[in-house]
Amino acid sequence: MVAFYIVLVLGTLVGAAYLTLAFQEFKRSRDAQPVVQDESPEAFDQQGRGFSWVAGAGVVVSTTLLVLVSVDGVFWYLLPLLGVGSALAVVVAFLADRSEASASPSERAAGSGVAR
Amino acid sequence: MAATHLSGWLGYGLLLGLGVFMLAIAAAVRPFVRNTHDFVIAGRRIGLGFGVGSVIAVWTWSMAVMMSSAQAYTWGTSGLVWFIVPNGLAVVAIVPFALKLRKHMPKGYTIVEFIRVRFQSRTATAVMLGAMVFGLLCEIFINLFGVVLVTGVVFDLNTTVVLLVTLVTITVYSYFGGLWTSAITATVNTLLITVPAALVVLYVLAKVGGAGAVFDKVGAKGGSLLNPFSAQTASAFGISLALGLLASTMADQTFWQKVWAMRPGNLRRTFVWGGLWFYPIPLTLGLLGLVGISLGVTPDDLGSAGAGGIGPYVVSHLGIPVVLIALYVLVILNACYSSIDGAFSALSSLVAVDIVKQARPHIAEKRLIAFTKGSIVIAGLVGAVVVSSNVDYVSLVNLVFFIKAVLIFPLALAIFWSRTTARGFVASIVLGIAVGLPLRQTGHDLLSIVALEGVSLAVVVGVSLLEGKRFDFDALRRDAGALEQVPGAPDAVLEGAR
Repeated sequence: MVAFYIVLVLGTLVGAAYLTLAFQEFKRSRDAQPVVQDESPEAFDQQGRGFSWVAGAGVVVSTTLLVLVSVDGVFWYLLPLLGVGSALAVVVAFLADRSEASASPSERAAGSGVAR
Repeated sequence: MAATHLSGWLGYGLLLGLGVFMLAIAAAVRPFVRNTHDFVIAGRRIGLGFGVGSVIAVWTWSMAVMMSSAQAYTWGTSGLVWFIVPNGLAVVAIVPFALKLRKHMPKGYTIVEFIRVRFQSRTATAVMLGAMVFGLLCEIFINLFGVVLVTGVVFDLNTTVVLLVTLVTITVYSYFGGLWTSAITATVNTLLITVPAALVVLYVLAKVGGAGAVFDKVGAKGGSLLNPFSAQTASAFGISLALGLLASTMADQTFWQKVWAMRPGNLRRTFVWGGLWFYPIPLTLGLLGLVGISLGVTPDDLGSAGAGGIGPYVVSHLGIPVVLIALYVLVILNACYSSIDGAFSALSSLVAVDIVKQARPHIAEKRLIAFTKGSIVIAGLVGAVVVSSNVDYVSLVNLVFFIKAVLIFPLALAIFWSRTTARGFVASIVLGIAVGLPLRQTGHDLLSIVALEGVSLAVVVGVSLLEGKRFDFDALRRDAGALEQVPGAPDAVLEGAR
């Protein structure tokens, strides 16, 4: 039951951050003026680099988790924790949006290539 | 094991309560939507947070959530490997296709639009449009089935009433905001799936004596329940499912709509994060299937729900607190609602761009958005009729997944190989199905999928080489963007959107 209470606390904290950041991003998207997006071919080519490594790593990690689950019951507790990790990933994504929005237009053009 | 007695009113309360919550969000989102362009593509302004959140939720089908428990219950951990690994990979695998199309066709809306501009062929366009619409309708049916299953097992609710309540609820809130509503409600859905699922599963494990005890009991059952690489599972369903899943994202407008709606700089991160962070959801809920094995639940106990009912059965028969049972039902309902409203939104984009705008290119904005929104209501009605009838829609959906798998090679080559022709595209789909389907119907599951893919690849390559044509991908940049507004255009056009 200890794992349950740990995830209850973690989940509550992550949930609060998630909803707060989602609401802030919603307001920012509603109020922001549309910016010209960088849709140059180079911007997309750059994103494609190293993709197969990322996809391969995803397969390896998920398969490894399932192998661990087949080896010992103690590893089963990792899976619900990772479930909270999924919510945390969205929190991090909202933070990335916020940091992108607060960057100056020139920084954005030089960085993610979102605006110019 | 005795079931926990739960009032049916709690079930209806959950169905309606979640709907009212989503409707409140939709009402708040409404100001975003100024015209059809906003309705179907969210002004191409969806950021990383709403992108990742909505991709996870849209891919988390209600049946997928319950099927992970079902596959673990039926096959042990090898069922989880073959069900879950290709599921997440399918989302990640769309990245190269998405980058290629967004690069050459930045003003696109739908994958059918790509096929129309790419091939300039009515036949190829009609085939793709038919496949997309049928696929989206089936996506709606199968998620409705998930709601019926969970509310039936847990609350013993009447199927027809559940269907009507669910469809009316989702149709109403989807009607108001299009893709913006879908993305924002789906992001909230992701939170309401991930954390509650973790809590419910951890409580269930504690209730049955801990993960170690369950592990030992499953191991004691013998067989290959704890062998993640069982060859029997691979041949029984694993390989065909993996191919079907890959086609499901590539040939699904729900995903393509998001590809064109994201801010371009976030394209790769959105789908990679979405795919990778989708994994923990079915992994977590799959554990309920292993708990079911350890408790000795038999197929007879599950009755007509079959193995798909193992998750709801375990949760409702262990005597865990009602609030946790309600949370589990909410997980399934969230998965269902997000997938259905995503399908509604995708369908509306096809109707606007590929049907109405093609039939009447100069249609007024006000009428265009009326048709677009009306398509959501019509899809809801079709869903109600089909699911209320006695159609075996699980078999229907399996069939659709099989047929969609034929699109993998022709669509991938249409995107990446300039020599692919319309004749090659259509012939590969028709002949692939003509060879693969009869084999499937005669029980040759693995052979049928191999034949389907093999024939479609050979035909699209062979016919295209024989024709000897080349396509200039720059034409995509010129000929797409049916709903794009001309900068500086008068705002009068926006009035009809409200």
